[in-house]
Amino acid sequence: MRDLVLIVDDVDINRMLLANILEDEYDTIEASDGREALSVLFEKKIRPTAILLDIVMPGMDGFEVIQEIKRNPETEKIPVLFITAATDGESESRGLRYGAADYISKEFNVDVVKTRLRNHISLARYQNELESLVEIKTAELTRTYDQMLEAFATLVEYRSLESGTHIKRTSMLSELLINRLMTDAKYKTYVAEQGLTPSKAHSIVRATSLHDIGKIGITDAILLKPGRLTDEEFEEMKKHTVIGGKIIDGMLEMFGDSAGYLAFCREIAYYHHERWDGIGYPTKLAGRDIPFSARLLSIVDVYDALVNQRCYKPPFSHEEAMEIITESRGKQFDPVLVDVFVEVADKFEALEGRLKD
Amino acid sequence: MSKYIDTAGGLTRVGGNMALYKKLLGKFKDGNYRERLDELLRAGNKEEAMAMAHTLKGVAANLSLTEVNSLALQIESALKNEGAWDELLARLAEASDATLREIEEL
Repeated sequence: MRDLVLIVDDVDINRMLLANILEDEYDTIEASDGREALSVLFEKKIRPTAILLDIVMPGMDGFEVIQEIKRNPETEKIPVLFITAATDGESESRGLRYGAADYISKEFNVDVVKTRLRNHISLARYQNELESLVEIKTAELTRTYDQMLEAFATLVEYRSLESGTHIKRTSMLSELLINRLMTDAKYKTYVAEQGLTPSKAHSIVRATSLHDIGKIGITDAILLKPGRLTDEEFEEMKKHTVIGGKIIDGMLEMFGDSAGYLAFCREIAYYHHERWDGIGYPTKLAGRDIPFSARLLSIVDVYDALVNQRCYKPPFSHEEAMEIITESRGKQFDPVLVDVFVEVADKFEALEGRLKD
Repeated sequence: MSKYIDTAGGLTRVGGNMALYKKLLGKFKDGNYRERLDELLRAGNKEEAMAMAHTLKGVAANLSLTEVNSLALQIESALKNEGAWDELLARLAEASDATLREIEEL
C-alpha cells in the first residue's frame, strides 16, 4: 500500500506541482486552505502519512493549522513539512517550534524534497514502532512488579494464618466503593476535593494490597494470639502501621515510584488505622488530614475483618457488620465514604459470599 | 537562454514533463497575479497586497520565473519595511509582460 501525503496550499499551481513530483511514490490528497486541511483530518478522519503545508494562506495560515494538528493526539505524530516562499529565519524557527519536522523553501530541488519526505516518514514510522514496543515492555514490567508486591502481601497474610483471600477481598471491595464514588454525580464535588482521577483511583485500588505488610515485623506471640490482646501487646500490634510505612519507604528508595503507586501504598500502610475523629493511630490524624486512600481502606478493612473469623473473634453477620459501620459514621469513618459504603453494601455481601475464607 | 524564465530549472521541478510545465505556466498566466497585486496596492490594501506579493513570489519560484520572483520578493520586503514600491511595481509589470510573452513562445 502506498503512503498518503496531504498537500496544503492555496495556489493550485503549487499543489499540482507537488502532486506531480510525488505521484510515482505516494498517493496524494489536496487541500486549498487551512480549514479544508483540518476538515480532511478531523471531519473526514483521513490520516495521511505526512503533510506538506504552506504557511501564508488566506483565512487560517499554516502556523494555525500545525498547532491544531499537534494539539490533537490522533494527528500529533504525523510529520508536517512546511513548504513555503517565506524566506525569513523568523518563520522558519517559528514553524520548527510548533513541531514541524522540516522547513523547505519553494525554490526547492525535487530530489531534496523527496528525500526529506522519505526520511521523515521512515523516522516517524520507526518512532511509532519504538513507542508501541516501549508500551508493551512497560506493561510487562508493571505486571511483574504488581505480582511481586502481591506476593509480599500474601507472605504476610500466610504468616497471620489467614487464608490469603483477605487481600483479594479488600482490594475488590475498595474497587467497588471507589467506582461508585467516581461514577455517582452527587459525589462529584467530593471526588474533586480529594483530587481523584480515574488513574489515581486505579492506583489506590492496586495499592490496598500492601496495607498490612508491616505485620511481618510483629512477633508471632502477639500476631497469632487467640483472644484479646493486653494493652501492652496492643501497643506492639499498633506498630505494624509504622513498620509498614518503613518497609515501603525502603521500597521507594530501592525502586523509585515510576509505577506511581508506592506513595499510595505507603499512605495506606501508615494511616489505615487512623480515625475520622482523631483518636486512631499511629499519628492521631483527623478528618481529611488522613489521606483519602487510607480512609477508604480503613472501612473496607474493618468490614472484612468483621464478617470473617479471626484468631481473636468469631465472624459477624453482614447486617451486624453494617450496623457497626454505620454507627461509626463520622466517628471512626469518613461520613461520605460510609454513605457510599451503604449504597454498595449488597454487592459487598455477594462478593464476601463468593470469596469466603 | 531566456532572461525571464529558467526553463531548465522549472522543468526539473516537473520531472522534465514539458506538457505539464506548459500547463502550469498557462495557469500562472490565467491567475493574473500581477494585476491583482496592482489593484490591491492602488486600493491601499497593504495587508492583502503583502500576501499577494508573497503568493506571487512562491509561484514564480516554483515555476522558475526568475525576474518575477525577484521583483515580487523586493515588493514584499518593501511593503514589510514601509519602503517605496512604485518603481518596483512598474518593473514587475514589465517583467511580467515579458515573461508571459516568453511563455507564449515556449
